[in-house]
Amino acid sequence: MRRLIVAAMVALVANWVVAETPQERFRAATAAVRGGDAPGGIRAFRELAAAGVASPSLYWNWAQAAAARGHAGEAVWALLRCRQLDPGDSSVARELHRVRQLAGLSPSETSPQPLAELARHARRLRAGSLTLALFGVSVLLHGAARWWLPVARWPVAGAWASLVLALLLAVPAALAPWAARPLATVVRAGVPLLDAASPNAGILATLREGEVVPILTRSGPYLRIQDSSGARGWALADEVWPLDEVPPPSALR
Amino acid sequence: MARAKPCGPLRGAVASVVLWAAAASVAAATFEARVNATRIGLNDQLQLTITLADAAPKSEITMPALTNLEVVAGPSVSTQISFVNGALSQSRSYTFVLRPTAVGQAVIGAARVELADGERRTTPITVEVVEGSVVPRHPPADPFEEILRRDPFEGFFGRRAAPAAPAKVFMEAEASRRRVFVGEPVLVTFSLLTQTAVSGLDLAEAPSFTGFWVEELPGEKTPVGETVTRAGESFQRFTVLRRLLYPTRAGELTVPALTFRLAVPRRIGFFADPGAAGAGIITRATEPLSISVLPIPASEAEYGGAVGSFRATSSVDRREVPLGEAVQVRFKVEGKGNLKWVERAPKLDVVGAKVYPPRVLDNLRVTPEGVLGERVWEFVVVPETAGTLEIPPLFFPYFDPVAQSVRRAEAAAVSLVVRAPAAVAMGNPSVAPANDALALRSDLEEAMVPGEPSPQLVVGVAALSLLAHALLLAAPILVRRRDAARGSQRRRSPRAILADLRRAREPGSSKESVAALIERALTEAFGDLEAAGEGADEIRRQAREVLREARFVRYAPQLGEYQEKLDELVERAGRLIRRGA
Repeated sequence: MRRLIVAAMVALVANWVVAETPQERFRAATAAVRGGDAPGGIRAFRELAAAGVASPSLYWNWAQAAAARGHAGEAVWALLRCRQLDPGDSSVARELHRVRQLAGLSPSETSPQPLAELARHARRLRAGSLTLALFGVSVLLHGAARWWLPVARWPVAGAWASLVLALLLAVPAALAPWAARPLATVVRAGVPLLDAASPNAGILATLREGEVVPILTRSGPYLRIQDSSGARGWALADEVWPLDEVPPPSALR
Repeated sequence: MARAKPCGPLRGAVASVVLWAAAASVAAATFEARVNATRIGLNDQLQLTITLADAAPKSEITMPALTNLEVVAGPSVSTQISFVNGALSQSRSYTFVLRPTAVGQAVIGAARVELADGERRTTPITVEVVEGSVVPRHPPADPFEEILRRDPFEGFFGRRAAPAAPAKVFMEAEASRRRVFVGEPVLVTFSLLTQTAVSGLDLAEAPSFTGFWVEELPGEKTPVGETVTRAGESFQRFTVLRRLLYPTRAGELTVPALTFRLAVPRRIGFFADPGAAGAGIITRATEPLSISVLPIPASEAEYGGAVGSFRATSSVDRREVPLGEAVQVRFKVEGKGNLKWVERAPKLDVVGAKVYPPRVLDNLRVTPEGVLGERVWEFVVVPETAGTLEIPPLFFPYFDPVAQSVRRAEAAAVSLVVRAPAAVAMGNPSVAPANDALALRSDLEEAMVPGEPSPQLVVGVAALSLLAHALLLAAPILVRRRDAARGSQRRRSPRAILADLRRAREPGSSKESVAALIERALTEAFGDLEAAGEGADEIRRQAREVLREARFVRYAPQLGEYQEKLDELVERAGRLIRRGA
């Protein structure tokens, strides 16, 4: 028994010593992509993402590998993930524009919800924090006007101004994300839009690769979505990847 | 002793020369050229006649230069002598049979002759040559034997020649091989064997080679005859038709008999006239040929029917290609055999690329040995991934008749590099492209998302903030109610008192109203100043002073201007209220 415990501890220590850090695994995956093994690199990127690594570089390289394989939809998905993690990176926006052009998609097809765009910009501009600060300032000024500066007029004006500004900023910072639906990206060409969440469902339309669609609801492996033409139907989550999820291994090509 | 006289043709020639000289002395000389048509087909013949009349040439007639024409036969010479109204005229004609060599314009230049009064020239003639045949054919003339045997001028010259043996003409078909495999070529040669002149030859009916794929061999421009012996007799043999026949099925196949129409010139004594106008048409047929065709031995599944000897090569139009662009993969098969038959393209599967159906390019020529040349399948391959793309080896199975087995011509694999499109990397120091292919980032970096509050938190804080504001706004009301409940005088805020005091500066206000505003403001701010007594602080004492002065002004008779005084009091009262607050 003692020997067993010792052996287990030795194995644990050895495993800890030889285990690759996420950084090392990321570099190995990048080297694989650079060496031409884009599918292998993407598999490693997915594993890292599934393990909780949330880095813009991870999704940037994923997008590059996918674009190199000609998978424009997957590249759009990865770039959108990258943008979520680094909203201020202008190179992501340019790359997204380039991939979108390659896929022949219009800007509206990758930005289907104005509220979501508003929320994204609010996030980029840190509107949430600013809103909280303005609410605080308005309360402080109001209190100051009441107790510490009863004669001065500016605290009152400042309190009201900051309160109004805070309320205005609260719309994109809080209400837009609340109101916007989660999004998903069509990662394959010719994905059928089904009339039911069933393998035997009829085909209503065909989705365009790279198109970003709002998710209306979910049922098992199916997502109920609405395409850019307004048609609503079901699609397999393996073919339409939600932006806030890491796809399962089976979804990779 | 009687002098020997020229006889036969010679006698006639002498007579004509004599008559010629006599006629030439009595009439004006003419020298002209004419043709029987100015528009002919490529398959037609043209008759050119050059006539010299009433003149004695000092030299031979010079043949005209021919453009786009060649002499098939001629010249045949004819002489005509006539007496008209006691005047003697005579002419001599030289007739040529010409054949066009190409579609377009043909020109017969000027013929020249030297006469006693100088040189004469004919007018050049232009003839239009078109495709096919436009000159109506003459119906067949006399039967063959009659043509070959009879000399219509025999009686004219008073000579009855002994019956001559008929000249023989026949057609012969010959196969290069009588035993071949399916798809192996057989050269069949159709020849004319003749003991006489033949001025024209064509097929009586279109040949039908059932069971064969037929390739026509280009004919010789000037057939060369050779002397051969058949049944002890000597013939001139001319190859008139060659066909390369590829059997399409196994078994005993027959090359059918071909029937030809031959134009054989009549014998017209001294003046042989081989021209078409003076020819008779006969028909001759070849003997059918039997060919034994062997089946191709059991072949592999990919075998597409090629028979012969081939080699294959693969190539790409470029070794490096950006991702998204197409590469042209050429699979070339060259050699000798029935490449024309082979329609099946080699199967090309490229991992990581999309392959489109090929287009086929041929560069084949038919020779007596078979069809030589190459066939190229051009595939369009669109890589779908960056990196090294391997075009696998391609195979072309064919049956080798020599080895009597199916072989495979193999083209080696070809590699090419697919470059990924350069990604946008400007302004981002973490983008470190290791090569030109991909702009990959080298390190994991932390998410740049700021610690943004959740929407729920923002909404919660907003609600709290609004509540706080509401409480702050409600606080004075609550205080007022509390004071009212306690029966104490309410105290207004200094800001409100000052706001009231500012009304004293409004234009048009009476001194009483202004003084009353000052008095009220000071009372609200400091309470009952009179009751404070002398023990009050400095601010209250000063306030009491302002209050008294305001009352004085308020109740003073209107005898002078109080505005400046009131302004001063308002200013002082406001200052004291601010200080006191």
